[in-house]
Amino acid sequence: MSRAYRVLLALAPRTLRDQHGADMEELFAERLAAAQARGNAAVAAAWLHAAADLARARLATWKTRRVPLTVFIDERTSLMPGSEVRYAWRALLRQRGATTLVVLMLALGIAANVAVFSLVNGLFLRPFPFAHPDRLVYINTAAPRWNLDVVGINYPDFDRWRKDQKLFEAITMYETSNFNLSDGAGAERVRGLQITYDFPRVLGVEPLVGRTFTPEEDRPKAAPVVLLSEAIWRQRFGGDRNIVGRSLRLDGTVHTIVGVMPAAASFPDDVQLWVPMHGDVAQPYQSYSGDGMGRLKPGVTAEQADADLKRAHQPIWDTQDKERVVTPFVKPLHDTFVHDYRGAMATVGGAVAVLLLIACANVAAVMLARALARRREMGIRLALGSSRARLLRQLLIENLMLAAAGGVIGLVAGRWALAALIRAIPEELPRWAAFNIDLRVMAFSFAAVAGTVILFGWAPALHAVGGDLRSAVSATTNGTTGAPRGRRTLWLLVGAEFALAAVLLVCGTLLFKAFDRVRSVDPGFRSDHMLIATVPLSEGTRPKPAQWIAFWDELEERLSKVPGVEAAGLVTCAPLSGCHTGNFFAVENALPRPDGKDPVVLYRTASPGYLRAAGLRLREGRFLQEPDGRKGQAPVVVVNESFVRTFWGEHANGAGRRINYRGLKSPWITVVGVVADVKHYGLERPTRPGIYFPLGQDPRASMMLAVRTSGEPAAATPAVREVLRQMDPEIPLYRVRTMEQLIRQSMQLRAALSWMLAIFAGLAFVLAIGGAYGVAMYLVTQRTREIGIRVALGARTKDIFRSVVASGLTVVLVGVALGLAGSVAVAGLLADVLFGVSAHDLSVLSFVTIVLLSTAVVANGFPARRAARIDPMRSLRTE
Amino acid sequence: MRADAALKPHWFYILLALADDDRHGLAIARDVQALSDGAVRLWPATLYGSLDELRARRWIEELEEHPAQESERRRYYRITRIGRAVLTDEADRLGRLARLARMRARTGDAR
Repeated sequence: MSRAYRVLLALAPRTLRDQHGADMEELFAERLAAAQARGNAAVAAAWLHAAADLARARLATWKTRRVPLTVFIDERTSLMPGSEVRYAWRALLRQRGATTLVVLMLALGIAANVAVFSLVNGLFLRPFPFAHPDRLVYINTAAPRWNLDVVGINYPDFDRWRKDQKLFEAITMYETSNFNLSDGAGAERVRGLQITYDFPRVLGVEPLVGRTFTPEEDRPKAAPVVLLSEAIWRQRFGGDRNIVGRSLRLDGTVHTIVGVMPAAASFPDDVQLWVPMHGDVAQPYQSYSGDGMGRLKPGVTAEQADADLKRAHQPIWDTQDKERVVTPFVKPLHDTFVHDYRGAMATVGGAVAVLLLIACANVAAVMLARALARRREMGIRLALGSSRARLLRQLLIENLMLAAAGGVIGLVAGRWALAALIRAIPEELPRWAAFNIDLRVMAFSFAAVAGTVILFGWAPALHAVGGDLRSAVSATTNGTTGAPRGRRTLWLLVGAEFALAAVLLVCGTLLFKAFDRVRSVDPGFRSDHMLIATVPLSEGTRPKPAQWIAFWDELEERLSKVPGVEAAGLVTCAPLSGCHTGNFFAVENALPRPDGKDPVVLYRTASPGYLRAAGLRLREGRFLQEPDGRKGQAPVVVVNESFVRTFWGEHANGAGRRINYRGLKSPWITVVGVVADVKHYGLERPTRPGIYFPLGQDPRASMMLAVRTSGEPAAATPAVREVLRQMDPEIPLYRVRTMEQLIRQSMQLRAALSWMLAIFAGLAFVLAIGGAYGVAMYLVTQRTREIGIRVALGARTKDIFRSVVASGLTVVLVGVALGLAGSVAVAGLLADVLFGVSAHDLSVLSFVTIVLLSTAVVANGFPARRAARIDPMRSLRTE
Repeated sequence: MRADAALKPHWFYILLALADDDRHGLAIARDVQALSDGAVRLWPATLYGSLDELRARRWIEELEEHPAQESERRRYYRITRIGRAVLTDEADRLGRLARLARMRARTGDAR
C-alpha cells in the first residue's frame, strides 16, 4: 500500500517530496488504516483524497514558480517531467520545418492505416450484429459431380436435418422472395424473405412488436401471415404499436400482420418483410432453392457440425440419392458473406503497410538528420555534466510529442478518408457491415506511431550521443562532415524509400493497366443506350401462364411503338444483373468430356425482340421469332458460342443440332441459331454455355425488360412506366438501371482498388522524393565548409554540381533497381487481379524507372545548385 | 494583515495545534482532527505544504534539537511570536464574527 502511495508521490512537487516524503507516507498510512476500518468505500475515498491532495500541491507550484534555466543541468530525475516537456516543446518549435514535416508524414501513414484497418476490421474482424456471432453457420448443399459449389436446399431434406441433427441449437432455411405490395394508393415492389419458423431463433433476434411465426403458421396451406421490418412499419404504419392483427395485401393476397422485426434482423440484405416458408415435406418434386443457417451449440466447431449434418443426411443418400450427388455442408457464416473482398483487402493492406514503412523511413531520416545536426548541443550538454540517460529521455519526450501530434492529426484525417472510401464502394459492401473507428483501431494506430517514432527517433539519437564527447563537440564546431556512420544510415534510408516506392508504383500502374484492359473487354452485346428494368406480375390477379404470355406480348408490342424506343424485348435474366439460373442438358452427338463433369448451362427465356433490344450478335441461323414456343410449334432453342464449343467442339456448327433436358423423356429440342457469348457474370468473369428458350415454351410471371433507346436511356423511364401503368396500375416497374450503370457497378470494386493503389503509390512517390530532397539538402548544408575549400582550391561549379547529384543518384539507382526486382515478385502475388497483364510488363517497369529517376535528378538538383553557388570566402568565414 | 481577512482554515488549525505544545507533523494532523471534532482531516501534501509555507512566513519554526525520548527522525515545529499574534488576531476576528452572528440570529428570532 505504501509503495503505491510512493508512486503517487511523484505527483507532488519535488521539494515537498524530498523534505517530507517519509512523513507524508506515515500520515497517509494512518489515514488509510482509519479508512480500512470503515470499509471499501472509505478506502477508495482515501485514495482519491490523497491523489487530489498531491495534484493540488503540484498545481499550486505551477501557478507560482518559474522554471530556472539551470534545470537542464540538474541531474536529479523527476518522474513528472513538466520542465522537460516544456523544453522539448521549445526544441520542436525551434526546428519548425522539420517538426511539421515529421508530423505530416506520420499523420499520412497513420491516416491511411486507420482508414484501411477500419475497412478490414468492419469486414473481417467485426462480427455480425447478432448474439454470439461466432456460433452462426451457413448451410447449403453442393454437387461436386455437377461442378456446383452451391446447389440450394430442398425443403424435405431440411426437414430431415432439423429432426436428426444434434449439434445445433436451431437451424433454419430461407429464400428470397419479392412481393408486390399494394394498398390501394399504388403498387410497390418490396424485398421479402420466406423463412422457416426457427429463423429468429437462429439469429437470436426478438421482435420489436408482437411475435414471430409459430410452427403451425409454417405448415403448408396455413393462413397467410407476415412480419414487417422496422422500416416498413414506420413508413407505412407510422410506427403504430397496435399493428398486430391488421392486414397487408401482398401479390394480391391478404396477409395478417403478426409482428415487427428490428432493423438488425435485415439479413442477408435489406429485407423488408418476412413470410413463413410453408414447406411441404410431401412435395412431389425436388426444389433446391433455399439457403440455410444454423446456430451451433456452445463449443461446437463448424467441422463437427458439418459431420453432424452429413450424418443426418445419410437416410436421404440411402433411399433417394444413391449416387450421392447432393452433399450438405456447413461453414462459418462469416466466410460465406465476406469471401469476395479478401483478395482486394490483402492488396490494399499490403499497400498501406508499405506506405507506412516509407513514412517511417522518411521520419527516421529526418530524425537522424535532426540528431546529427544537434550533436553539438548534445556534446555541450554532456560536457556540462548531463548524463546520457537524461539526454535520451529528453529526446524520447520530444519523439513522443511528435508521435502524439502525428497520431491525432492522422486519426482525424483517417476518419475522413474512411468516409470517402466507403462512399467510393457503396454497392459492393454488405449493408449489415458497420464501419467506424473503434478503440481497437485507435490502439492499433497509436501503437504503430509510438513504435515507429521511438524506434526511429531513438536509434539515431543513441547513434549521435554514443560517440565520444570530444569528437561530438569538436566535429561540428569546425564544420567538417562528421558522423560518417550517420550519413551512411541516411543514404540507406533514402535507398529503402525508393525501393518501396518503386514497388508501390509498379503495382499501382499494373492494376491501372488491368483496370483499363477490363474496361475495354467486349461484353458481347451493345451496352450503350440500353435500359433494364424488372416487371413482376401478381400471380394473384393473373394466375394462368397464358395470361402472362398475353401480357408480355402486349407489353413488347406497345413499348416498341413509344417514340425514342428503337426496340424492346424481354428476358428472364439480363447480363450483369446478378442473376443466374442453371440447368443441365443432354446433347445429341456430344463430344466425350475429358473430366466427366456435366457443365452447367445458363438458362434464359427471351422474347423475339430481345435480339435487337440487347444488340446480341447472331453468328449462325436465326434468333427466336414468332411463332416459336406457341402451341403446336416444334420446340426450338438458341444457344451461345460457348455452348457449341463445349459440347460439339471448337469449329462445329450449332444450327440444326438437337438437345434435351437431361433426365426427362421429352421430345428433342432443335437449335435454330447461335449468338455470340455475352459477359453475363461480369466483364472479367468467364462465360458459361448459355441458352435462350422462347417465352411461350417456359412462361414466367416475372421478366426483365430490355429497352434500346435512340437517346439517353434513363430518359425513357417515364414513358416505359406510363405504358405499364396504362396496362395495369397495380404492377410496379423496379430495379430500373441503364446497362452502363450495371457495367460500372460490376467494376466498382476493381475501380476502387485501382484508385486506392494509385493514391498510395502517389503518396509513396511524394514521400520518397521529399525524403531524398531533405537528406540531400541536409548533407549539402553539412558540407558547406568542405565545398568551400574545394571551390577555393579551384573546383568548378560544374564539378561540385555533378558530385552532389551523383552521390544522391547512386543511392536512388540502387534503391530503384532493388525495388523493381521486388515488385516483380510482389506483382506475382497479384496475378489474380491483374487480368492477364504480365507482372513484369516492360512498359510499366520502364515507366516507373523513368519517373523515379527523373524526379530524383530534380530532387538532388536543387541542393546541388545551392552547393555549386557556395561562396568560398563566406563559407570559410562562417565557422 | 487586515483584521477582517480570514486565515486559511487549515493554517488556523495548525497554529492552534502548535499553540499549547511543540509537535511533529503527524501529531499536528491528529490534534487538528481532534480539535475539529473530526471535521478537518489534513492530507499529507496539504499538511506538509502548509508547514513549509508557514515556516517561510516565520509564523512557525523547526526545532534544532528533538525533545527527550522522542524519535530522532521526526521534525518538530514550534509556533513563533508572530505566529501567536496571527492566531490571536484570527481568534479575535472569529470572536467578533460569532458575537455578531449570535446577535443577528437572536433579533431574527424575535421578529
